[in-house]
Formats: sequence, structure tokens, C-alpha cells
Amino acid sequence: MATVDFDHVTKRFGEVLALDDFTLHVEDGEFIVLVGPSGSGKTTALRLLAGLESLTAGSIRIGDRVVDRLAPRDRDIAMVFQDYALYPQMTVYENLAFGLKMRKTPKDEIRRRVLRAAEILGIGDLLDRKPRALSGGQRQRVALGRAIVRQPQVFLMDEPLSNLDAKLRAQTRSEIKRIQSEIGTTTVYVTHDQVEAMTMGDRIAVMNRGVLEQVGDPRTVYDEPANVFVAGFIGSPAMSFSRMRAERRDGTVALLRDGALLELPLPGGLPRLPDEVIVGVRPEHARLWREGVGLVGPIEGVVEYVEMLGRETFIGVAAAPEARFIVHADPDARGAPDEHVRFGLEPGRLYLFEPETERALGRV
Amino acid sequence: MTGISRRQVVANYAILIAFSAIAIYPIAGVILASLYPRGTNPSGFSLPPSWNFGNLATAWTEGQFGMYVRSSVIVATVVVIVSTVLSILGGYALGTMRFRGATTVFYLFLLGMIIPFEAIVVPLYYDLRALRMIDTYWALILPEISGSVAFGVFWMRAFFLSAPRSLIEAARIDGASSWHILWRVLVPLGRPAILTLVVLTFAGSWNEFFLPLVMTTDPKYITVPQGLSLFSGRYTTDTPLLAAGAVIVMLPVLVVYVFTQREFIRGMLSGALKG
Repeated sequence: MATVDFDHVTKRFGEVLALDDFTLHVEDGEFIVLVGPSGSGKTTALRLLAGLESLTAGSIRIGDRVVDRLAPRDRDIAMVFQDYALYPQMTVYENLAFGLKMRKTPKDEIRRRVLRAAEILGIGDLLDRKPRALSGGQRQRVALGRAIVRQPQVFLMDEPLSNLDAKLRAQTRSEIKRIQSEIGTTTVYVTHDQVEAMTMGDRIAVMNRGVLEQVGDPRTVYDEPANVFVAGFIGSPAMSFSRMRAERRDGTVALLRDGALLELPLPGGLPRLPDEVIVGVRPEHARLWREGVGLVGPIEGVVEYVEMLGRETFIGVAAAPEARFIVHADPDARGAPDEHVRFGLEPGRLYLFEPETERALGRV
Repeated sequence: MTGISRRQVVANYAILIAFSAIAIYPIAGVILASLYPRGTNPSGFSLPPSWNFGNLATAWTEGQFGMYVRSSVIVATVVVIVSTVLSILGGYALGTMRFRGATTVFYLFLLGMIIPFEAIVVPLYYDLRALRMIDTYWALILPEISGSVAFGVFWMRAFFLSAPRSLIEAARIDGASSWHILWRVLVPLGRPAILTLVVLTFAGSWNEFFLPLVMTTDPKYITVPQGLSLFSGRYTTDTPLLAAGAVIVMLPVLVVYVFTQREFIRGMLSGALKG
């Protein structure tokens, strides 16, 4: 087990800047998730840590060892690949044993460790099979087992669940998390799926276009997004944004747009207020209008679509051009496209962002 | 077969049968001709009046094919083994490693495929004579290896380029050296591509006519195709015997192909020519 440190790491592929001045500290035993859309640099960061790519600038440490010039095999890491990368001509046992064999581990020790890993993962009865005779979920376990038997300082996982179907993914998610906390090995996990990030990470690092946008525990990242990108990326359905004029009035903030006026109590922590702000609203904080439930509004709009999820319903509402909101409603809520609806927002839950820099200003 | 109409199926089979017939006709014709009684003149594609399997034995002894087959086996075996190993190593380097001059080296290998052998055979003859290699197996083996390696490297590079990168990376992280990755991980995966290369190299070496013609005069080193040519010079009128000689020459290639055809076809279809 070890800490991991990215220290001002930059990676260029020719003209393309894949990772830009990336600095991140991972605690010993921590499960950190690098999350972002494709092209955000998350996989590049992982591959740099693995030693599969070389650094353009900066430095990487595992524990107190600088690994910049070490070959992958000398970094004491194990990696789980998106396509599992099992050796097709070897049995499951041989796949698990391969890394130990290459390190000249004694045979008894290999056997002991392979059987132990197989037991942890529940693949003891598959040891004689070849990968092609396994289902996707079983292959995934073998890939995980190959990492576990090595007992490395750090686990690296590159979207290991993206080839599984939705049900299996949810199952495996919690299982990986359980195994990691049992073994306690520092884990760097890459995914584009924010649900995986939220549910698995001790902390999540949100990345975009090669830049680290925010690091924090899932709650903090969700509740206090650092900027518009993070706010929009984390959370499903995504946060709705619209530009509004802002006025500081006597003890309140007034947000105005197309005849709608939202007057909210001014919180203490709000330092300054530009004339125009981007207002972000999470779906669960926008609800159909009812008097006397403490919402601000009402805002009027036209229903664009209705998403019935069984346990809840989300209604897409256009309040004005470029001012669309997703409104949370009861499961039995009815609504049809082109219908007019009124909805309100929960005070204290409106996120304000600076329009130019898109940085968070605070909540009102 | 879903999604394919009956008419399409019939058409598919008709086309496949037609092309198979075109491919099989000359081979079957030669085999049938070799079974006619000696001295007769089989014409076209017809069954012999009696089956004369003795022609094969006669041709074998009269044509001294035993001696020629021995030379051919020696040459083909060494060529296949050495050039396959070299092709695997060269293809591995060019297909998976980044190093300075890789592209230039690759184009040099391509040049080896493009330049016709006839263009270099005369200087090559003088070179080998200066090295006192004329009338030795080396005069056949070394040029054939160089010729096969050109294609072999091209072929194996394509296979290594198509092999999943993550497999190589997983092995690197697992602690395998480049050497181990090649022999423990990639070569077992590349069996179809390698066997295909073996069949092609073997057939190429076995059927090589021009090189032994130029480089050898001693009958000890004459290989099968040239042997057949000498044989046909002596028995121009005895078609069944000539055909029997031809059957002896083509039999080994057919046997090798039959034993490896499943892998051969997989190799041809596995996208081994990608990249």
C-alpha cells in the first residue's frame, strides 16, 4: 500500500495537450475515482501512473519513490483493463498465476495466492477454463483476480465495468468497493460514469479537457460543485442552467428573466454579485407549483417531455428560450408535451455561477 | 440461414462450386492422367481405363526423385524454420515497438518483396561464387530465407499490429519482458497467422525453380521442381509418367496444406493483413 502523487504532470501527444499541469495526492488505502467525459485526460493520467506512457513534464511518486523513469513492471502496480486483457490461450489459473510466475514467486506461494483470490472472487470452479468459455462478468472477475494476486502497492482500474450489462454493473460496483475496502489497497479508478464515481469513490476527481476541475468526497462535489462543468457533469438527470439578471436588494437577491422574478433571501457567504449570473438548478430542487410549500416562484413554462421512471417522474420544461429546467414530480404526475405548467424552486438550493469564468459564486 | 433468400443460397453455392471446379480441374486432371497406362495419351478430363498406381513408383525410381526430395526437404525445412523465426522477431519489433528508423526498416523489407528476383540473380551468383557457396545448400537456403523474410516480416507485423494492445500492456505490468511477451503471450495467440506463414513459405521454397537452376549444377543439390523439369526432358512422350512425376512434386505441399488448412483459413480471415 502506498500514497500516489501526481506533481504538475503534463502530457502531450504531438500537438494535443492530453493532460495539463495535473496535480493530485492520493492517500494510502484510498479509493479515488478519476471521472470525466472522453478526452478529459483521465485515462492518460492512469496510463502515466502505470508507466505505459512517458511524461512530458512533471513527476509521479508512488509512496516516496519517484517512478517517472521506471518500467511498468518495476512500479509494483496492477491494472484492470476495460477489455479485461486476459491471455486467451491460458486457463484462468494460468492467467492469475502469470504475473507471479514472471516475478519468480515460489510455486506453493503462487498456488496459495491464486486460490485465495479465487475464493475472494468466487471463481474457484472456473480455474481450469479458458477465457473464451467465460461470461463477461466472469472474465471481469478474473481480470480483477489477476490484480489481487499480485498484492501490489496500487490498483489501477480503467473503466472495468463498461462492458457489463446494467444489472451486473451495479452488482460488481459494490463488490469491487467491498473487496477494495477489505484488502485496503490504494486504488485509482477511471470511469466516465458519474454514478460509478459517486457510489465507489472515497473521493472523486472530476476532469475535463486535460484539466482537474475539482477533487473532493462525492457529497462535497455534488453539493458544492466548483464550476459549471462539474455541476453539469455530476448528477443525473443533469443540473439545468439558465442566465439571469441579478440584483441585490434589501436583504434579498432578485433573479430576473423574461418577466419571471425570483426573490430569495441573501445568504451571508455570498461575497459579490455580478449583474448577470448563471443559475443552476438540480432536478430535485425544482418542483411543480403548490402554494404554501416554501418554494420560490412560480415560473411558467411549456412541457417539452415527460420521463416516467416509476419511482419518480421528471418533466422537461422550457420556461424561455435557453432557459430549460428539469422538474421533479410524483410518480403519478401527469403531463403532456405542449401543456403549460407552473413550477417553483427550493430556496437555498440555487447555484450561482460567474458567467465569464463559470466558477461557483455560492448558493441562494 | 436467416435474412438470406433461397435464391441467394443457390447462387452462392453455384458460384462457389464453379470456382472450386476451376481450382480443382488441373490438379484432378494431372492426378487422373498419372493413373493411365504408360505410353497412352490421356486427353482432357476422363477416367483411365485401368488404375495404374505403379506409375508413381516408376517415376520415383526412374526420375531419381528420392534424391531431389531429399534436397528439397533439407532446403525447405531450414528455410521455413529460420525465416519463420526471423519473421516473427522482425514483425514483433516493427509491429509493437517504437524506435528510430522503424519506418525506414519496414520500407526496406517491402523493397525485398517488390524487387523481382530475376533482377538480382546474376550479381547474387557472382557473390555466392566468391564465397564458394555455389553447389552447396547455402546457395539455395540463404537467398530463399532473405526472400521469405521480406514477406514474413510484412505478414507478422500486420498480425502484431492487430493484436490487442491491452494484452501486451497487461503482460508488461505483470512483469513480462519483451521476450516473454512475444513467446508466452503473442505467439500462442498468433498460431493461425504463423501457420499460414509456414505453409506459404514451405510452398514457396518447395516450388522454387529459378534459384536452384542458377545456383546448382551438381545433381546432389537439385531440388524437386528442377528434377521434374529434367525428368520431363527425358520422357516428353510418356504423359502418364510425366503426370506421375508432377503428382510426386505437388503432393507434399498438398499434404502440408490439408493438415494446416483450418488454421490457414483462420489466418487468412483473421484480419492478419490489417494495417
